[in-house]
Amino acid sequence: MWRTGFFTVLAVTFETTIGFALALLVHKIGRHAGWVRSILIAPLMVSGIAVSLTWKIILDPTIGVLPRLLGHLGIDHLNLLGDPKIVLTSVAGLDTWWQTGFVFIILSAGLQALPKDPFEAAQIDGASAWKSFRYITLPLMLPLIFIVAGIRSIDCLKLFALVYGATGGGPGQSSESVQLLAYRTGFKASQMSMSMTMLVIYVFITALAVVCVLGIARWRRRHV
Amino acid sequence: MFKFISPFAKVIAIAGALIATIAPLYWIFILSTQDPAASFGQPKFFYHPNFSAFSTVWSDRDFIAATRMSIATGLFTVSIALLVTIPAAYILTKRQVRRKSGLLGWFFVAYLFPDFIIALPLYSVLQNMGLYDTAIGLALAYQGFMAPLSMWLLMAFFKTIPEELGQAAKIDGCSEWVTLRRIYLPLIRPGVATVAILVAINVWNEVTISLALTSSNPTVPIVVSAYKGYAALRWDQLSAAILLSVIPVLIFSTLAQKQIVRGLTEGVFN
Repeated sequence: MWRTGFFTVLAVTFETTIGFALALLVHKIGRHAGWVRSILIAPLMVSGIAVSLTWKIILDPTIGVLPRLLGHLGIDHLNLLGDPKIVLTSVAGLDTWWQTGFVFIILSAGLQALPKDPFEAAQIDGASAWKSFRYITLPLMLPLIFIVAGIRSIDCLKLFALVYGATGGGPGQSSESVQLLAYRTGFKASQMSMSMTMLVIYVFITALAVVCVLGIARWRRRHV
Repeated sequence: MFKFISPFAKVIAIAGALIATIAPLYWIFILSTQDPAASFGQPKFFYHPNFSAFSTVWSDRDFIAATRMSIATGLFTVSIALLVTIPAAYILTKRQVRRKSGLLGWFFVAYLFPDFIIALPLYSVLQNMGLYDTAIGLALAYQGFMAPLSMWLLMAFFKTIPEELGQAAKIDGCSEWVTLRRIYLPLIRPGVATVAILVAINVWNEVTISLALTSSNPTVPIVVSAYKGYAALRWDQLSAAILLSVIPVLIFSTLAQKQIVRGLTEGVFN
């Protein structure tokens, strides 16, 4: 439970920040936007299992390419998926590689839909680029950023394929997510009722979190 | 906008992101084309490409069976989802329906559920119906997620079509069914295509439900993950299996990219 929560917070923060930054960068680059965009959303189409296995090979301490390259730089024996202390961060990193494209594409569409007038007005008033970003772009985009982060959080809370493929929940239980635990209890240990109980409780907690977030959003909209 | 970031830094940042996105896939391609025995357990950067791993995986009977299973499941899922949700989305957008927001809220709740909460009860239901471990059973199970998805998207597409068309047809004496089939369906064909593509990709990549509801007829992702067992020794085959499972979707989605982007954004904005 805490592990899944920790993973979600980490992954959603990374994805939203990087996704938004990329959307801003790619916005209005003109001619090349098309293919840049298609490459950036390519990982989205890859299945969770394929993502996890790909990275399992890349990060593997004996045959992986990343530990070897880092070894040349003087960082030795880095076992990103085998160290209980950092494994969750690594899995969050995998999820970032995988799903940042989603945040990126939605926010890009949002940026394109922004009205032009406020920016022109700001320019006439002599606002700096940074100011027009801070006081126009950001407030206008905030609701959309919120929605995207919300969708990603729900998906992250359902984390399964990545840990199933990359770590199997290990080492020990250090990267076991709620769904993986439920799968193990239900199918491998044949305790269906136990597994269902876990999930139902989990749904209630998730739903509660979503209601809280929606509540805060509504409260903010009324008071800002 | 954003003149406070120099163009040079901008190019570097974008290039960095592009490389970070492509490099892993490229590395997997390198791995799949070299013989682990010849490179003494250490992948090389320079080598003679050798595509034998692909043919090994492609002639693996499990892999072929899984591909068939995945294709069948995908076809069933897409057809059932479209058959059910096209009329439903039509009525919900074009007619007054009581308790509409509650109904739509329920679709959202379905999205909140972890996959297994749907998979576990269905496990016993499908076993009793004799549909466990079959493509149809799996396709029915997927409706739990795919029906809401296609419902949202289709409603967004239906909303873009002006009311007057349907009203005119009605005045001319068309029944609801004929109006839907003759007037709306040709107009939202791009929308239907988008939904079909998105549902198909989701089904192809899905692992949780298929893991729970199949045993001897697994789908592609499960078979691919079974290659993990030999990861340390036969990484050429593992990478080839990964690529073979990914490439169809990548090609398909590149071709349909405009539609997909449109589908994703329509879904969120509405």
